[in-house]
Amino acid sequence: MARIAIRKLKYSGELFEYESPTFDDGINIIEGENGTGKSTFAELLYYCLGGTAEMLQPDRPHRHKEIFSDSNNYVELLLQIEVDHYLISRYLRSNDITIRYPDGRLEILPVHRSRDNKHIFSDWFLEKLGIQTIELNMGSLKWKLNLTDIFRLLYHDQAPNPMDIYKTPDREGFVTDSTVMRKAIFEVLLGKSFNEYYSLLGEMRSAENEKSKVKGAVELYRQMLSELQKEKEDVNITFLRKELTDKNAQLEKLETFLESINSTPSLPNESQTQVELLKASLLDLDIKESQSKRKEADLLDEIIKHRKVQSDLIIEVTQIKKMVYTHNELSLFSADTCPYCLREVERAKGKCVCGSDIDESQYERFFYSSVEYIEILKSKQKSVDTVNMAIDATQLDLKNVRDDISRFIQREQEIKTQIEKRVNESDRIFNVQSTKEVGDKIASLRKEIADIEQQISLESKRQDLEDKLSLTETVYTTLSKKVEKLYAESNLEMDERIKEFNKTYSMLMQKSVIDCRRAYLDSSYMPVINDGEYREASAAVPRRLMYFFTLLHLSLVNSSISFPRFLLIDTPETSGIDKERLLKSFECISEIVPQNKANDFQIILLTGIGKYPERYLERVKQTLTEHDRLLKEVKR
Amino acid sequence: MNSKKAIEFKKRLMFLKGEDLYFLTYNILVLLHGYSCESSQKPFLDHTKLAYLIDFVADNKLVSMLNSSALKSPQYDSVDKAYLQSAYTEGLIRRHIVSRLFYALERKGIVSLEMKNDKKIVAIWLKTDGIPTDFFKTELYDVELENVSRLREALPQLRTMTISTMLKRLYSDNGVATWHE
Repeated sequence: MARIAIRKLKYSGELFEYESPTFDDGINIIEGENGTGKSTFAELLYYCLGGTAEMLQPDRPHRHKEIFSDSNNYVELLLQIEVDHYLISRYLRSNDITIRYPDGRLEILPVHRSRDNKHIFSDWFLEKLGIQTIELNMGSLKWKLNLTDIFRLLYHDQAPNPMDIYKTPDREGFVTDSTVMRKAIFEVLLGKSFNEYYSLLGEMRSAENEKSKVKGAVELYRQMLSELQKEKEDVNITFLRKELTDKNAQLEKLETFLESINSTPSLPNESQTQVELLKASLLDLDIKESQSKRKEADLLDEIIKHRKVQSDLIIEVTQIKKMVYTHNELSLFSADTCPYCLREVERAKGKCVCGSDIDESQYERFFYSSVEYIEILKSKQKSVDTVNMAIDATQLDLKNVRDDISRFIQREQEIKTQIEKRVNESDRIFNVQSTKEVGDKIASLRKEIADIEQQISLESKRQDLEDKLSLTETVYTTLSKKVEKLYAESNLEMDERIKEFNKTYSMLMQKSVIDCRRAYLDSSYMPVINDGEYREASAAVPRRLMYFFTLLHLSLVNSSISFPRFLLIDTPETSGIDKERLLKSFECISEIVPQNKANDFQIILLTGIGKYPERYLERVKQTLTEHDRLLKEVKR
Repeated sequence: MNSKKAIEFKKRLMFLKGEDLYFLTYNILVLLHGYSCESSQKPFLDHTKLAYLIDFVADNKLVSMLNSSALKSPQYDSVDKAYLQSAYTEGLIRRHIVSRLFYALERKGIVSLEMKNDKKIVAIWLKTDGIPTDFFKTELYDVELENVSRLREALPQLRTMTISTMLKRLYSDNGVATWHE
């Protein structure tokens, strides 16, 4: 799998600075006396990769004086992952790491995981190493495997107790230093399948969580439903849908029916016919009435004319009376008055005023005698009587016509009342009853429909939930089967790895510790020397160092191992080991590196001056002394 | 007997009130009496005016048309107008017979006539001694006398006004076209 290598380390502040030499593949040695800055180097490196270094913690008693007096200070690493070079930098007292990609692109990632920071530097790094982000579950606790956890088997620090093998975690706690955690780190670094296993395990746990959540929800929902639908029979959604369709169809029919009885005249046929008959007779009466009214008008006109004739006649009668009076009083004209000059004419009997013979009895004269006037008067009076009679007759006719009219009107009114009554009655009886029935039915149907719709929505929700449950169950089952399978595979693989590990480790231990006859890992991957009987404290350093070397070796011989073929070893001799044993231990490096893999790894070894095998002399990159310490004051 | 009845019937048929000389006579006399034209001091000027006035004396309907605002009101319709118009034409037709009647009445000593204004008009008045004293004392003429008094109310200057003015007041003003030579 992927390898990493540090090519350069740089510290820069306003007061101090440091720039490392370029580090090569293979072993790189920085030698130095105590207190010249070897551990500072290691811690700066570790700090730059997101670690928490003891002397770089502001609240620790032995914090680094120079670095904490400095300001604007940062660490910069030229880091190689596989073939790519990244420039990683982190300011002191900062929780952000800046990555500069080979193409010059910058990315700033947080060091710590938080609610807002899901993707942190560690995730980026592990992804580059091909190690999947692994979530470990311990009871209710969750833990994501971080770069600093991996570094516990890459960074061979100055541990106060080398028996622990693993570097102390940055933050000690129940989870972080648990056996489970250690085993996980070991398994992830060594086993390819374990990498997958742990990742799958995480997924499975999530699926399990999800499953139990959904299961809880379904249970709750079922309970709620049974509470809600106590009286209703438990029917499935298909049945409910069919019922809903039926009810809707019924409702539609009823609504159409209601509309029809509201919009069309709602008379039953019989009643309708009767009303039609009444209407016909009403129309007939109407016609008769208007005919009579026309007749009435004619008669009235006749009467008016008669009256006019009557009054004219009466006037004429009185006037004739006056003429008779004037004639009698003044005797102005007679039968012998000349019609032209109006004088009296002497006329012989049987002769006209013009002298012609006439029949005296037939002689028509221009003027009238009193008798003749009286005759005229009489005839006029007779005429008045006639006219009066005519008027009386006409008035009788008029009365009859008027009687007819009022009879017609009365009859019309009766028929109208009858029609109205009939229409109203049938309206009331028919409409009110049927509308009410239909309305009630519609209302109850609507309620039923609403109920069914609610039931459907509840049911479909339950179905959804149950579908989801069965889905999560399937996912979980699939995952758990996979996990099971993978676990079995991984265990097989791990057994193989442990065998290899034990073989190499045992060999290395025998070489570095004289009286070591047998070394192997126990079930928690902790080394057991001579079946646990060996307790010499001086063997603690090789025991731990060889552990790291064995891991490196395995990664060199087996490319499927995730271990990134990098070791940072900080002054192992401080844990109490004599120089001879120390050199023997270092000699083992040549044992673990196959001939053709000399450039496939990197070890940065920080050690005392000359405390390394002689043949590594050329591997010394820097020598730190009292006068040439790691951090140099900035020249102004 | 039959032929006599036929003649009487014929006579009755031929009777026309408006042309009867007695009808014209008593209306003229009542008018002059009503206007108190009974001496030469107070004559009725222009006897031709009387031809038109006869209808107003005989017919209370015509007088009431004159005497009210009826002619100006919307109720004054085409029927009324036609009535007034026929009165005018009656008068027009009557002029000659009325002139002859005046001379006959003068000969009988019932009225006096006098030429006035270069003989262009004739002034006329009643000769009270030529008429029986109780001639106007009958109730018979009450209607006519009442009409005359209403006519006087409508046209107080009627006695002396010219015929043109009278025609204008009686007809033209009420929408009836007139002509006068």
